[in-house]
Amino acid sequence: MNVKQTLLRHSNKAIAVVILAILVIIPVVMVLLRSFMIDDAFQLLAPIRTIIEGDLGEVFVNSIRLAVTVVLVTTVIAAPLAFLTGKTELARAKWIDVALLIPFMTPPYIATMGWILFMQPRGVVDQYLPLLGAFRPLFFSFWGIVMVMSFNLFPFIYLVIKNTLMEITRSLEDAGAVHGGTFLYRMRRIILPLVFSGYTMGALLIFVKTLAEFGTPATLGRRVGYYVFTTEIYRFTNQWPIDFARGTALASVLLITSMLVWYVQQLLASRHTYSIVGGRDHGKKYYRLGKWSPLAWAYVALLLILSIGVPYWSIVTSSIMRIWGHGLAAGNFTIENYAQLFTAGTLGARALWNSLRLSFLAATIAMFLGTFLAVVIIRSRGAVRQFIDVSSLLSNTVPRIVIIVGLILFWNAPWMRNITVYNTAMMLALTYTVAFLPYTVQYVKANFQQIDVSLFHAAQVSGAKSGYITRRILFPLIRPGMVAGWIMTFIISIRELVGSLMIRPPGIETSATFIFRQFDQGVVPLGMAMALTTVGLTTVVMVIVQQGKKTKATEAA
Amino acid sequence: MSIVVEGVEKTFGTVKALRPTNLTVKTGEFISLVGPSGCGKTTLLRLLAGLEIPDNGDITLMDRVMFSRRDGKEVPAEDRGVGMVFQDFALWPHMTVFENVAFGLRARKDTARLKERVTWALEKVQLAGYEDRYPKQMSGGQQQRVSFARAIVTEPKVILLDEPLSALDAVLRDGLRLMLRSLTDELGLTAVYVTHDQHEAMSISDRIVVMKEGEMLQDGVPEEVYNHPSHLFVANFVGKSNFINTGNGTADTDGAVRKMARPELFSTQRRNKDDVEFSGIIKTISYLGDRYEVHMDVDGNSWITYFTQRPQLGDKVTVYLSPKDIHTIEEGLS
Ligand SMILES: Nc1ncnc2c1ncn2[C@@H]1O[C@H](COP(=O)(O)OP(=O)(O)O)[C@@H](O)[C@H]1O
Ligand SMILES: [Mg+2]
Repeated sequence: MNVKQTLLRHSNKAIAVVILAILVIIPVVMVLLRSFMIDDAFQLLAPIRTIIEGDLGEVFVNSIRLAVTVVLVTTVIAAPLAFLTGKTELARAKWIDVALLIPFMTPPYIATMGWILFMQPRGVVDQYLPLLGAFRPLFFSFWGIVMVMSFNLFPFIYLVIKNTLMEITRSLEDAGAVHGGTFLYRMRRIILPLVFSGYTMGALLIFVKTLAEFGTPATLGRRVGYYVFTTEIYRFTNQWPIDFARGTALASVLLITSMLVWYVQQLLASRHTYSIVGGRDHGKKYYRLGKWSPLAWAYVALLLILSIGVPYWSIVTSSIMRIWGHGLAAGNFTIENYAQLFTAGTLGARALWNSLRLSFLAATIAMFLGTFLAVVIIRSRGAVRQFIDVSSLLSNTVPRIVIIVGLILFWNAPWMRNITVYNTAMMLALTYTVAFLPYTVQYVKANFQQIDVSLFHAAQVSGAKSGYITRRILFPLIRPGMVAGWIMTFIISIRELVGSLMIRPPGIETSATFIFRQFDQGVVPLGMAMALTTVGLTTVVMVIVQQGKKTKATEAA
Repeated sequence: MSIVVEGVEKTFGTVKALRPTNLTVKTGEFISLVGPSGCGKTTLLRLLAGLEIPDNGDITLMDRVMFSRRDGKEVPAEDRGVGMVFQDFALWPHMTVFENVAFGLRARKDTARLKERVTWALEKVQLAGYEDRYPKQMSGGQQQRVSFARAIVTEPKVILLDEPLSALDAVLRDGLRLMLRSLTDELGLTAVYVTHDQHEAMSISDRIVVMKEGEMLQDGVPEEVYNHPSHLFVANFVGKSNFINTGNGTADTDGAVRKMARPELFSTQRRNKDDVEFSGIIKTISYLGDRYEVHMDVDGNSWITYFTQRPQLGDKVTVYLSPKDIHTIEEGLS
């Protein structure tokens, strides 16, 4: 390798490190510094002190209690379903997994709004199912928050458990049967222990996700007086009276808690994952349900009703009402709400357009930046690689709200005054880019890892220079990962609530903040029309891409 | 009789995995099911184990009816009391070697002298001292020995082995094969061994059963199957065959009487005056160390013969065969 190439190689690494430092590392460090420094002195227990002095202990307890309960409830919901679709004849109903993408893809704040509209006075329950009104006090309490979040999050843990179940090769179970294990004995000694490690990972993921979730606590939690980390961080950093000391103290504790959980997960992952080596698999082992079949289907139906039916029923009906609360009577039906969103100049149309263009921008930047980082990671070794790898995925590990507080601290710092990014719409695009960068990095990396090095060696042997190899071999092969990264960033940027709320300059709305504010101010139908529009739009994008992939695959076959 | 299978058949969807089949195995006998991939060997084995349910027929193991369509009897796998060794070892990754082996005893709550019996089984496969390891800390050969120990720890009378050596490399395979056979003899086990490798089948078994597309074509001692294959398919699958043209057309005409002889029966010199002579053109020569394997074209058939000295490529040579060594396949005539 000549000097020039060596320099080039190192300069790429240096660029990657600098970019990541500015975008992610420094902001996060600033959150920590801000909460640990009191009167210019570092104090180890400073955030804890701030929390105790500021009467925020309850927030901590509330958050943990919510996360633990959601983990338990999602497990209870998901485990039987995973068994049914992984190990019984229900496996043939492939559409169940497809249907479960819907709660998975529904932003929590939208699902929560759907539930509130269902349960609140004059809502769907009052109009059509008065008997369920008895559950209203229960819903507007801690348990309502738990339920809504659980029905939104259970597909995660369901997929984790199911995938682990499917990995257990048939012969592992057969060997248990032949050597005398009855069904229950096999479950206890073979299936459950093998699923357990996967389950633990899923459970910890749900725990962290619940801690970091803003949408449900902000819509339902605040209404019932249940405050958690995210809602309080939002309050202290965005609403008068602003109190950054408490805001960052909470953010630090949230950050440290999540990091501890990730650390535990890493420990467990390295110790308890079994690679289940499979030989030729003689099909899957499916248990026959027999007379239990109706019960199993009833269970599936109930889950689908609660996770999809209820929220979408109220969202769809609300979005076509003239006045919310008057029911779907003849005179109350209108498509005016949708018309407004697509009429240039209206608030809604501007919000939608802002979301589209900013998300487009963010997705494009994230795609190139993420690809660059992924390639640098793969081509480097040692500590530098570790650093770039960890920090480019940091915004997936750190709760989003912490990153956002960091971005505010950094870009709004006094010494940044000359760089006018903060308080412009571009700050939103930057936030989305930083927040969702890990997707592209991960997709491209995964893509890259499937490529055999011999493909590059073959090109080299055939006389190709490194630029030519990048263009003709590397780039076409990682393109699917780049496209997937772009789409993911685009879709979730459009729906991003907490980042948009906190970073948004005055006078600029995005679709998410629009929905949130309309709902807050009681202009339900318009907000719900926007909610359905964004969900529909992003789903259409996904479907088109999936179809595109399929046609490509069939062409290739 | 240790194993009696009568009229057992099994269909998966539209695939006839096993056509109506009869098979008996004497106590202490070691038989092999051999045939190409997908011919139904595993299916038959799994039917014996109770891991699949036959569509029809009766299965009796050690004089105990395990399955009978007629009498509506169906003993589940966990109550059949057979040992089984799987192709992919099927060791539970979360259990130590000791716990893997002890499984069958614990599952049946037969835990008297547990430690002693597990140790006994591990000693039989020469793995004493490996009790606390996890499967992933062992080599493939060791894993398969653990799996064998697991199958014998409950002292079953019947052991089923589904291609136990095919995931291992050639050197390990030979050693383990000898070990398997001597252990089954020592323990007096009745063994059904599945393999797609005819060499393995012939070298390890008292009897072999050649299968094709869910059907048993021939059932006999290895020598019988090798010397007197009942079907063209058997002749080709077990060993190498040279087909001899009869009066009516070339050898591979369907339904014709086929005459064939094994390559090693041919000689480059005339040994008796009634020897039949064949001549052909030499196409390829491979040196095997102790002799030359020669492919030659005889009357449009491709033959294999062995030479002790290197012949010349393209030469026309003559080989000799004693008439009694010519075997006639009567498939399709009966
Ligand atoms: N569980 C199953 N479901 C559907 N088809 C099966 C199943 N098990 C085996 N088969 C089919 O039955 C035939 C025989 O399979 P198998 O007994 O595994 O063959 P072998 O062990 O001889 O390779 C094959 O065509 C295979 O595809
Ligand atoms: Mg098989």
